[in-house]
Amino acid sequence: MTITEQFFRNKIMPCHKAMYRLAYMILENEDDASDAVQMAMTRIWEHRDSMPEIGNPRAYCISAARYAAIDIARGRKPSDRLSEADALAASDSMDERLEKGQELSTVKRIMRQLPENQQRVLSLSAFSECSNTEIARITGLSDANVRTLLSRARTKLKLLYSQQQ
Amino acid sequence: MKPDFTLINDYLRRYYEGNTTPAENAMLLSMLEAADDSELTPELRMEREILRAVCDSGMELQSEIDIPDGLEQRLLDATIGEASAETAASPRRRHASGFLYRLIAAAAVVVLVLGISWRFFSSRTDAGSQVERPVLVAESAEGDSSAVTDAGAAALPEEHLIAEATTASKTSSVTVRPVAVTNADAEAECSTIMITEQADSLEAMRVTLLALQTIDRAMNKVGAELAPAAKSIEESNRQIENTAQIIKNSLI
Repeated sequence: MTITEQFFRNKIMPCHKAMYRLAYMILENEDDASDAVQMAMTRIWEHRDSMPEIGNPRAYCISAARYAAIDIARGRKPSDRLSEADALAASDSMDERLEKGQELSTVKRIMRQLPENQQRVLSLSAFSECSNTEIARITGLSDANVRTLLSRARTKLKLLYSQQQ
Repeated sequence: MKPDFTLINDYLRRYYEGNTTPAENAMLLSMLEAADDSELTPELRMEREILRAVCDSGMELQSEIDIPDGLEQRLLDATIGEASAETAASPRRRHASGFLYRLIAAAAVVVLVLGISWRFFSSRTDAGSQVERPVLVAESAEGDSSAVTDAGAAALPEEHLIAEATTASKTSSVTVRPVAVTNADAEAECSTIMITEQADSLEAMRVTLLALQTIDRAMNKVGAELAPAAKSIEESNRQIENTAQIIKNSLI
């Protein structure tokens, strides 16, 4: 399939907002998220003459943005990622963090109470729809640790949610 | 349609183990939402509520993220905008780049030819200067048994005598042309040999052998000096071929 300029302007470019938001959820940085979107758009444009059939341009663009965001996340320094040692050691601690002046949903409030590593992994899974493998690439953790953190986070979320109801 | 509780419970188990994919999470939520409240146990209704809340929170979080100003224009400039600029400039740029390549190729050919010529002629000049250096000249004059000594020889400074007959030879004689040598290392560099009249055939053979050895050393030296030149000529030939290929490609 060949993407014409018109198709690119009318079908691909409008997806840039959703792409940016997804990239931001993954990278948590404005500049990196912009770079990820630009990278994804550039890739689509450069390969416009040899694209597969795109049934759903929005889903395709979001997927491209996800890959680009993961590439950028993998290129970060190890210090920017969660460390294996901290990930499991801090999993039982509970910190209460609430956004000031903002009413959060129950889920968001509960998530703020989770350890940072569990928050991050749960956020990537729940809000960015990342697979365990992608979460491992973004955070630098192993697949096994990602599974463990997800399990603990979801179990804790369920426990706290049921207590608040 | 009745919900598949076996599948739902299996998904839930794996969900809390951290073993589901995003697609399976979405499938789990859609199956729970497709079921009536009356069909679900209180636990399953709680699960549905939690999964729905998480999904809603995700959408809410995403909607709260502000889009940076100018992002769309930046993306257009990086994609379509660059393509338009390239298309507008390409014929002129192509024409300019083709002319530039030809010019560079022609300059490279000129430089190579000059380099090879300089190298070639400078080698010949070296050889010529060697020729012009004092060189042994030994002439045999049949019948001439006199030991010829050039009266001027003794007056010439820095004579290098390689071999000198100690006995007079009656069977052969050679004229001696001593040659003045100005270089203190001439014995190693030039092929100046002086041969005096040989009275003894054995001695004559020894002297001849020495002369041949000197000539051999000199020729080896010349050969060694010419070897780099030959190598550089080969390299230059390769470069000429590459340049010709570039010219050919630019003309195509």
